[in-house]
Amino acid sequence: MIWRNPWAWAGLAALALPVLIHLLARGRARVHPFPTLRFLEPSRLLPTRRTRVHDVVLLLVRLGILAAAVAALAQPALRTAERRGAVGRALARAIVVDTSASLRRQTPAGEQGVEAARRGARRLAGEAGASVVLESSAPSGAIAGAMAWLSRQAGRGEVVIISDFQVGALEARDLALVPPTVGVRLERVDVLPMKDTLETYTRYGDSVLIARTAFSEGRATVEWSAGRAPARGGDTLLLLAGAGERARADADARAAASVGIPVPEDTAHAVAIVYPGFERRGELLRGATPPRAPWMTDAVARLRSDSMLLAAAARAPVSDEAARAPGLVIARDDGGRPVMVAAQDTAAGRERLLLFSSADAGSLAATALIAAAARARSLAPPITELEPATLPAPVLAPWQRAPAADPPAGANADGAAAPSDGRWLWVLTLALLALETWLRRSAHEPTAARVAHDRAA
Amino acid sequence: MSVLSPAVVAAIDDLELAARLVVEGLRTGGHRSPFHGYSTEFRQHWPYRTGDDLKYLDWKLFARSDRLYTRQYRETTNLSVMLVLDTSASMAFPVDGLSKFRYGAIVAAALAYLVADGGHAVGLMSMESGRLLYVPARGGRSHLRSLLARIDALTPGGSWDPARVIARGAQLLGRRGVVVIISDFYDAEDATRREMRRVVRRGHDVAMLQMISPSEMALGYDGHVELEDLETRERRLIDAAADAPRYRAAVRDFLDGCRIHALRDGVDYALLSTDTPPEVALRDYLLRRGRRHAAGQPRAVAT
Repeated sequence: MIWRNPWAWAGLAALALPVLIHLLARGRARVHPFPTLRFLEPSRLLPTRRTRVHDVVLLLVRLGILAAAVAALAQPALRTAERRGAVGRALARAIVVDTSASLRRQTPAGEQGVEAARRGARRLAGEAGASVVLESSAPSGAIAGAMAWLSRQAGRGEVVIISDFQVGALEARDLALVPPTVGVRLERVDVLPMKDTLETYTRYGDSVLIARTAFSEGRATVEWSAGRAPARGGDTLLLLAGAGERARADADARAAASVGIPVPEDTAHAVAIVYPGFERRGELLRGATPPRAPWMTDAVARLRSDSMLLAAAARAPVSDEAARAPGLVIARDDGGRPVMVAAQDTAAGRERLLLFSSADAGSLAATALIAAAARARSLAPPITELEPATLPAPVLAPWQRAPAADPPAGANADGAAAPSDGRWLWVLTLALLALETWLRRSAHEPTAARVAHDRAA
Repeated sequence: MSVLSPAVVAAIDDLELAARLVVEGLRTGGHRSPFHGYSTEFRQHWPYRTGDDLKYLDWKLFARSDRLYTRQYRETTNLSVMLVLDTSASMAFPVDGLSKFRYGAIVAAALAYLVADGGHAVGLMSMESGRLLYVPARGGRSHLRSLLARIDALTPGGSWDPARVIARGAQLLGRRGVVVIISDFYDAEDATRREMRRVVRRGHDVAMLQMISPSEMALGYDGHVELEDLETRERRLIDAAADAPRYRAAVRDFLDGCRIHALRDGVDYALLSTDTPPEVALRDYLLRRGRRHAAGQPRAVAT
């Protein structure tokens, strides 16, 4: 037997009420001044009556009413063998699915890793009494949310992380958030090493150095060669500069191309950088709206976290026009004033993400913005996702544990799962109330002998 | 004829006013004082009113004027009336509403008013805080006011010694007079009767006005109640419904005993219930007293 609302037992103090009422009602009869007692015979009501409890049955019934009501309020739940088994079987699972770029690789079965992870999550969720699936590219950051959900669940709890467990994706300290009674299960998704050779290009003067990186068995083999860079895709990155700053803007583009390794760009979406001297800049500012398209906000988020861009913008000149642009601020100067603002508008015949810049053409900030825009539109996985090493099984094994066999002592978890049997106590309360009414009424009815005596008198 | 209800009388704080209203009520009803002196001389003629004694009708005047007049006499020897008022705590019942004491005080004041208005002497003998309270029997308006003020100042409390008060009152009355005892007669029952018999033997006219409250007679309580004796402070737990029949029978026996003893001892007796308008109770009593004295035989009455 467990009690889903044990605080209701405090109501047992009310049991004292009927006893007190019985004692006080009997013992403290109303006192009335009277001229003389000479005509009243010594009463059959003895003084000892004051301390004695009469109508014991009635009192017991009243006590029973209160006790049954209090017990019903405490919401008892009988722990039958069946219910106990059900509670034991009840397992709440919070499943975290790693959707990071490394899971885009293929599994030995030819399936994409993230799809295999999702399929495993569905299977594990189906086995649990209650479950939630959280998808995150950073599984360690999703553990807190999983714990928050588990804390509200009944029965045993288990957090499951499905990932390829790249080095750095999960650490022991990340699992410190998980209480000892909650199980930890780490499900590895086996993905094949990256088959494709990764080609990166580095401009070196007029020539291009091509680095071909091959991954195998935890090793990366890089082969360098001279060659030609792949052609860029159309006008997806447009530089809208004034006539006087065109040459410097082109120089900015060349300088930006030499920064870092060229990466595959998103050619489906277009970006335009609006220089301060662009003739139609004012017109664009008036017609622009804050970016709404998902890919735009995604790109803005990447731009805002680009450390190179932020460092260059900190010392860039500030334009009042840029401050007034109706969009999302990408970077600010040292004084907190906007230097670059992202907006959405149609330019050069297609919907574009407009980056209004206050940096002069040829400045470091202008170059950094072009390079950052290229990185923001990159389709390549983050460099960290290229890490071929994963945490070995001996490392993961100590982090795993089964959920506690029984819920923590004092927890109402299994009680919350079990239905309350309080309704039967309410039925008992009503029955006792009816009995009490009958007893009370029958006690007030005069007996035949007494009626006869009164009539005779 | 309108009468003052007990509730109205209880609401009048001025005892003299209450007494005067009661007496006015009596006069409106055409009732004369039943207290007569022992020697009279002609005073005036008075138009005859229904109920007047025909023996006072002046037939000669009727023959001359064809109108009915009665002859009024002045008492050359004044009647002395001594009012004995019970101040024991039992008279304070009921504590809420018109108590027996207040009712008795109004009756005493009305009698004093009536007696003094007839030119007789009226006095008071009572007990206050264990000490006798005596106002000599005298006539006159100022004495009446003084007497009413003394009655008004009395408060019921403690117990009293009725035999001693009655004896002292009759003794100080001197010559033959009327001793009117207003009490519930709960205290020293036998001694009181003995003393009343002694006073009657000494030639006094003794009237016994017994106060009673309806709630006292009925024991009108519900359930278990604890009653506290107003005089002894003794408490007794009773089942009102069960004990009421025996109690009522005992009270009836007591009242019957008082009435029978009074009849046997030659004492005028009247039972005055506080739920009866005072002038009604007094009128009934005075009417019966008048008829009784006309017949020369004391008789007990109950109102």
